[in-house]
Amino acid sequence: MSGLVVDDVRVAYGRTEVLFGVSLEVPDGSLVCVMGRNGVGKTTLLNTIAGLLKPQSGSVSFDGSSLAGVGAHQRARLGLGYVPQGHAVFPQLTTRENLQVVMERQGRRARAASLRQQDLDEVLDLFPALTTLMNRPAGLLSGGQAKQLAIARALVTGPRLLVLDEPTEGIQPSIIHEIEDTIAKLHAAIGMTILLVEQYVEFALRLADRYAVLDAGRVVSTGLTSEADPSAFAELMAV
Amino acid sequence: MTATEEPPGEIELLDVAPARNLPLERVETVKRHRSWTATRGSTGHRLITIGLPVLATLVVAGAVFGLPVIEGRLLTRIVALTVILWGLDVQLGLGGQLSLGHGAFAGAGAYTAAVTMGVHGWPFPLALVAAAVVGLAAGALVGLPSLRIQGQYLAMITLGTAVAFPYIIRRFAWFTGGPDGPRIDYQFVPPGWMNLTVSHYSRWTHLIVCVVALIAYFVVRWVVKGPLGRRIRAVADNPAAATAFGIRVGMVRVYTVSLSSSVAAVGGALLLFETPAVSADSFAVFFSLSLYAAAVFGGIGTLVGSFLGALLLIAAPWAVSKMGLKIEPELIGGVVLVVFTLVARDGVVGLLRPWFREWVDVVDTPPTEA
Repeated sequence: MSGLVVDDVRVAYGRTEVLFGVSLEVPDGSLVCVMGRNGVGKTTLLNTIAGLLKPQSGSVSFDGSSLAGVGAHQRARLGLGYVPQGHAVFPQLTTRENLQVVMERQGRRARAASLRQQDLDEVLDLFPALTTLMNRPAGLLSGGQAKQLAIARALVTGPRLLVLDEPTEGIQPSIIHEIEDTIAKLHAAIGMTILLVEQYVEFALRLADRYAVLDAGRVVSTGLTSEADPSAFAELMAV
Repeated sequence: MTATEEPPGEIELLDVAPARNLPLERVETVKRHRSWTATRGSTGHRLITIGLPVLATLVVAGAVFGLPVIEGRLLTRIVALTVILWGLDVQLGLGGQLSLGHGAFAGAGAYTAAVTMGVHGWPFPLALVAAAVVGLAAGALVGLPSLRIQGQYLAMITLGTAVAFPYIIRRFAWFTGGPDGPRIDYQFVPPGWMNLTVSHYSRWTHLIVCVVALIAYFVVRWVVKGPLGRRIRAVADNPAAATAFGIRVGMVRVYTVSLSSSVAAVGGALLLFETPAVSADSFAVFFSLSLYAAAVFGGIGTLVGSFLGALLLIAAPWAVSKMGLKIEPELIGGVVLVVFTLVARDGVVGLLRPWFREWVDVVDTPPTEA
């Protein structure tokens, strides 16, 4: 199957097991949302997919090829764009440098400068607020601006799969709407495959085609968002 | 204007700025400072970042002609130490990795210059290139463990390098010339038009050291602002995110140590220009720790701070001895390290920065017209 397949993945921090055989499919062109309370293993799952954590057993494959033994930096080059939780920008670098540094690492330096400029322009069209902040150190951006930069930074690499870890966390409502519009546009207009981790249920259900709910390191519920009843998530998401 | 074009550059007096429709934060800036404002990336900003170092070099280079010979030579030493501290700053300030062994890299550069110039008679530009290459190789060797370890563990390895350096020099005495180095006959003979007597030849050497330092400054600055510098800063900021974006964190750390040690080695070679003799003990562990204290004093992460740190290393003992006081340089270094770590972690540059911004304020976007 093309897209991402997580099969029976077990992950532990030392002797503490966090994921107990998680399986998940993100078919090509779909938008899948993983939901769950704090501490159920959502970020651990994404870090495993990104190659930052090594599973004890199980496998992760992307477009039919196993990612076992493929380092995090190589996964990025295979087309896996990861937007980590929080304001994971590079604060010492300016907005422009944050975008440049990842474009350079995707082997795009060899491409024509005009093409790179075109990529950059396309991404900045999605985040017009960043265009006036190109020379500002990212450490001085507001939370919402930093989050937009983090997403833009993943997009300039031209990912085939965009992995977003709680893009609404700590962001004001107006920016959440902008981020929602952007994700919807990426999915609908370009057909980008997206894996979204989110605790904001309404936001997730509005965007996603399919959902999976994690609890205590296990997938406890999956299905189509069109058939989901938001009130049914209340208990699963309660702290 | 398209999204990615640089804003038009300008330096302008903002006395009239309150009359404009400026965003609140900019109005506050104007009220507070009434400064000259340079937009980052503008022509004016470039003029500051390129013109100021050139101007500073001219001042430091010219100062030697107004100083007695001994003080002039101390100034040459300060410039050479500044280059060593730039090297240290690449690792410490840019790469965020603690190093307690840069004295050894400087020593490797000094010994390389001593052997190539003193024994084999190489011209000094070639000797400097050789020092840079040896520094690069030594840094790669010491930096290799950073593929697996980091933080204080890497700092311990650099400390071990500093401890081992004098013994390595002794062990390979057949090549290095031993703890007191090889005999060096190389002389920097000034051009005739300078009309310098033999006792003032050191002024010519000083000019050479200043020119090399200026070149080193722009090379370091070019690297810092370029693709490698961006990767080094990204890894220092957030290694996990850097990895997730395809950056090989371990390799970037090796590059950082290599580049850093290479610059330090060039600085070490420049020390030889001032005094044509080397001693392994002068590059022992205490020298490395002094360099660290100097970097903290000047301000880690600032190239100007390196000059101030070098000034401390040379000028403080000189001033103390001039005043007839009996205070050991080690004590000065120790007190500076403790005091600045406690009360001024950004060093002298951090203390002076607000004052500097009274005169020149660097902003991200040009003020908008009403």
